[in-house]
Amino acid sequence: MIDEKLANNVFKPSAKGHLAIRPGKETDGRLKLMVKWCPAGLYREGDEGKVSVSLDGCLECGTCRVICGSDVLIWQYPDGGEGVQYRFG
Amino acid sequence: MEKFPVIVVGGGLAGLAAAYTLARSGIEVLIIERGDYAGAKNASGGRLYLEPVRSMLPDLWQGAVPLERKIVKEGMTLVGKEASLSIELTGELSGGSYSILRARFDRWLAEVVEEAGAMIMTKTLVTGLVKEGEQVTGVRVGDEVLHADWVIAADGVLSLMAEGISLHKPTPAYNMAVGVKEVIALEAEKIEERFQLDHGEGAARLFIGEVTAGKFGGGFLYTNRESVSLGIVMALEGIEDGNGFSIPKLLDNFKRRPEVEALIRGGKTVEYAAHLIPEGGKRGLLPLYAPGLLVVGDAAGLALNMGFTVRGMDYALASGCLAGRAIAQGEPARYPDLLRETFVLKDFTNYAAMRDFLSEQDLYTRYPQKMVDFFLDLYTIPPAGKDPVYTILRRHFPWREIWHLWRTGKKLRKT
Repeated sequence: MIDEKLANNVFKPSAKGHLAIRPGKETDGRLKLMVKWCPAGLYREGDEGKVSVSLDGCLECGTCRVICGSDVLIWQYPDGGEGVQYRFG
Repeated sequence: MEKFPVIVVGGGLAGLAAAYTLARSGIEVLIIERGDYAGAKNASGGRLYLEPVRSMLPDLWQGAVPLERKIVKEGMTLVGKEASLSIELTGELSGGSYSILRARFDRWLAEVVEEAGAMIMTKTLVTGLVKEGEQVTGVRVGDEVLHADWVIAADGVLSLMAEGISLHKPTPAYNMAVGVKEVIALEAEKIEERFQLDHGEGAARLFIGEVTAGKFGGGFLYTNRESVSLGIVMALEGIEDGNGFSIPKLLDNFKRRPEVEALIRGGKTVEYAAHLIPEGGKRGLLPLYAPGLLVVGDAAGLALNMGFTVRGMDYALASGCLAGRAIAQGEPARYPDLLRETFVLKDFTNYAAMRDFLSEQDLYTRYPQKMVDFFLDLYTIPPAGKDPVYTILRRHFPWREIWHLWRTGKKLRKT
């Protein structure tokens, strides 16, 4: 459902990942909140409560940056001309 | 060493308004935007209140301004579990607001700003500010440093520029809300028929209650020329206590409610956007000024949930304009004063207590449901004979309920 929605957007590929979970922080409670709160549904909880994130379809909203903080996530904007490019906004 | 008089980080409304003002004063200004074009990274509900900023940005509003529709209908819908109650204001509305789509609007504004003499560099990410001592002296782009007499941080809600020089801490969740929105394409005639609008007129509607599963937030709908912007906003406050639905799921549930589905039927979703919104009110305002640096728009926390409407784009335009004006007048440090002297910080002061009031859980659960239940009961004609209106009223609003309402109302007095 969410994938169908995201398929409407224009995304330009990003050379390097612009966000990552810090090693050892995969089971942090704040990451688990993102499973529900990420607008693009990019966070998944897997085995042993470990959360992973996929970057395809990231809307760069920053909700995870605010919720998780820099001790859990490495977060920066994608490089110029990369990532989502809104046509309507 | 080449040096720009002014560098603006971010080609959104605040940054573009600053550049417009500066360029028209004959000051060279460079705007650096990370998107493919101005507006590519921007999203809003969105409605722009034009009257507060019309005179601040002279000569901008003649000609082909990409405003979508002039809002002539204001609606508020209390959403209960199985029914909803709407009120609508129509007639001679003087609110002076227009629906807009940011990718179109910002792109147009950027063209105007370029014509006025500013330079725009797109597809370029500023990774940080450069300081010499206490003075901000430029910006970092890749391995390069671009020097400037003044930098205007118009980099949006995350405000990474100012945060990067420790002008403020990372914004706490309490001061933020997340908005998600679908743009749903629909023919102009269908929009005008369904919302009972004349050609070019538009409607705005806010939804409160079940739409956010009883949490602080709400739904919104704005009609554009040939699309409808439909979405929900959720405060990040209270994120921890949640067996609630996921954000994408809440939006899907909202779309599927019969009172909404009927309005968007046959429409096709053409874009899905998400964006953070500063929602800390006056307490959420961030530092506006540091030597060499002026902070404008969302980057300064300049968005305000007034309860009955939300504003941000007019504050962005106004703060950008005033930052530009302060520099053009040779008194950049006066920028915060200029904000205080105009409607911008007056509004934040007048609505200083609103943020706490809006945390009141009952606004999203108890009251919408009570109102819906009362009207459901009122309009039900049972086989066995109808109770008097007063009996029905007291059934839903006994004294303890009135007492509760009164106490909530008292909190509103402080706002």
